[in-house]
Amino acid sequence: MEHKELITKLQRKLGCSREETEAMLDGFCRIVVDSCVQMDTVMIQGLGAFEARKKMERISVNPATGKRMLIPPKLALVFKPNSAIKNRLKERGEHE
Amino acid sequence: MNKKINFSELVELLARQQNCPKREAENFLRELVNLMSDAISSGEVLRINGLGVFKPIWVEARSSVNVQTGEPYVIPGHYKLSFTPAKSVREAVNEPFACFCVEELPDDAPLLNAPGVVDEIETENAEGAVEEIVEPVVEEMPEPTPPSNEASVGESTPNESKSEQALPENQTSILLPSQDIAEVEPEKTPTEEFPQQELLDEKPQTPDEIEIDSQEATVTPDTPQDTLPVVPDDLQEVEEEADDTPEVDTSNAYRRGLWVGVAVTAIIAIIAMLLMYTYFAHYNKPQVVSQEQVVSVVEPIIVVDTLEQAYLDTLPIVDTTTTAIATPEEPQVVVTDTVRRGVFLTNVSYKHYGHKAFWVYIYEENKDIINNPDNVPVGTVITIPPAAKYGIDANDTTAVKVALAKADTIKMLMKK
Repeated sequence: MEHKELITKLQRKLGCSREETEAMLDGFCRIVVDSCVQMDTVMIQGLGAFEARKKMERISVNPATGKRMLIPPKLALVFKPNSAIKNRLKERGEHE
Repeated sequence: MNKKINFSELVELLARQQNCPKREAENFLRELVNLMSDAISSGEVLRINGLGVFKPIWVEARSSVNVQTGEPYVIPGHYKLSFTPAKSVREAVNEPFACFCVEELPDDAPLLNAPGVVDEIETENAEGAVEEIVEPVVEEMPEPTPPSNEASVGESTPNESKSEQALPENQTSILLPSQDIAEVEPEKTPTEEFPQQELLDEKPQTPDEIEIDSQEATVTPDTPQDTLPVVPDDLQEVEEEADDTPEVDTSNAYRRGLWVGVAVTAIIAIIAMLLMYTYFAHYNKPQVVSQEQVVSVVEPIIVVDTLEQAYLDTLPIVDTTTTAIATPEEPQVVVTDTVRRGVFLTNVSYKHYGHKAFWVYIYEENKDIINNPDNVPVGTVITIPPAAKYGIDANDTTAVKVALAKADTIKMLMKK
C-alpha cells in the first residue's frame, strides 16, 4: 500500500478532508522521528515500537576486490512489530 | 532521553502539534494503527512518506538445535517484517554520527601490527610479575646459609640488578625498530593502493627502508645475548647455595651463622630495596622481556617486511610491461567520457566497444586517475583508448578472452 492509498483509506474512515489527514499523518511521522532522534522509544499498542539503536562500527570486506572497509558506527531507526503482527506474518505460510 | 512514549502520550503530542482536540487525534491514531497493522500483516508493502517502508521478507527454512534437549530440528521458512526508514529519517536519526564516513583499511598493516603491540604489553606485564616473584626468593634464600657463601650472594644480587639495569637499555633499542616499522608502514601502504607509474619512482626508496628495518631487526636480537647469560649464572649460584645448606652441622656455628645471616639479609634487603627504588625511579615500569619473547615479537615484523618486499618486487614487472605497451602508440583522437552515478567501467566499455570485457583497457589507460576499478568516483573524466590500440573487437572471441584474463590479473592485484 502506497502513501496515497493509505491517506485515501484513512480519509474515508475518518470522514475528514484530505489535507487534514495528510497533515495528521505527517505530524505522526514527525513525532515518531523526533522522539527517536532524542533516543526515546515510541511504543504503539497494536503496532509495535520505534526506537533508535546504535550499530557498532565493523569491518566489511568487498568480496569482489578483497578490500577491507571500516564501516563507522551509526544510529538507525528500528521498528519492532508486536507479536500479533509477527505471528500473523509467520502464519502467512509458504513462499510463492 | 531513553524514555518510553506510550499511546496516550503520543496522542497528547499529536493533539498539541496539530492544535486539535485529543479525541480527534486519538481517533486518527487508532484508525492509522489498525490500517497499518492490517496492511503489514496481510503481507503488503506499506510505504509511508516521511517514515519508511514496511515490507515482509521471506526467511528460508533452516536447521537449528533445541537448546534444552540438544535435538536438531528445522525452523520452517516464514515471513518477517523488515522496516527500512526513509532517507530523510535515516539521516535525521544518524545525525550525531553523521561526521563519520566509510574508510578503506590499508591492506595488511593495522591488523598485523595490532596483535604485536598487544603481545609486547602482555609480555611486559608478565615479566614484571615474574620479576616480583623471583626477587623475594633470592632474599629469603641466604637466611640459613653460612657467611662464606653470603659473599657470593651479595655479589649475585648486584649482578642481577646490573643485568636488570642493563636490559632496559637494550629493551628500548629493541622496541625502537618496531616503532620505526610501524611508522614506515602507513607510508608504504598507500603506494600499494595506487598501482601507478609514480610507484616506479618511489620504489627504489621503500626497499631500502625495509632493508634497514630488517637489518635492525636482525641485529637487535643479538644484543640481549651478551647481557642475558648473566641471569642464568645467578640462578646457578642460587642452586649451589641450596646445595651447600645441608653441610652446616654444629649448633654454635649455626647460631652465629644465623645471626650473621639475618644481619646480612637485612643489609641485602636494604640494598635490594634501594636498587629497586633507583631502578623504578629511573625506568618507571621497565620492560624486561626475555630473549625468546623479544625474538618472537620481532620475527612477525620481519615476515611482514619480506612479504611486502616480495609483493613490491612483483609490482614493477606488471607496471613496466603496461607502460611499455602504452608509450609507443599515442592516441590521435582523444575520446573522453565522464563517470556518472551508477556508471561502471563495464558500462562505458559496452557503450564504446560493444562488449563489457574491454573495461580493462579503459582502466589501463586511466590507471593514474582510477585507484579502484570497482569504484570510480562520480565526475571522473576518463579517456577512452581507440579500439585499434589494444586490438579491441567485440566480435573476436580471443580478444574478449584476453581481456577477461587481464581482468583476472587486475583483480588479483587489487586483492593483494
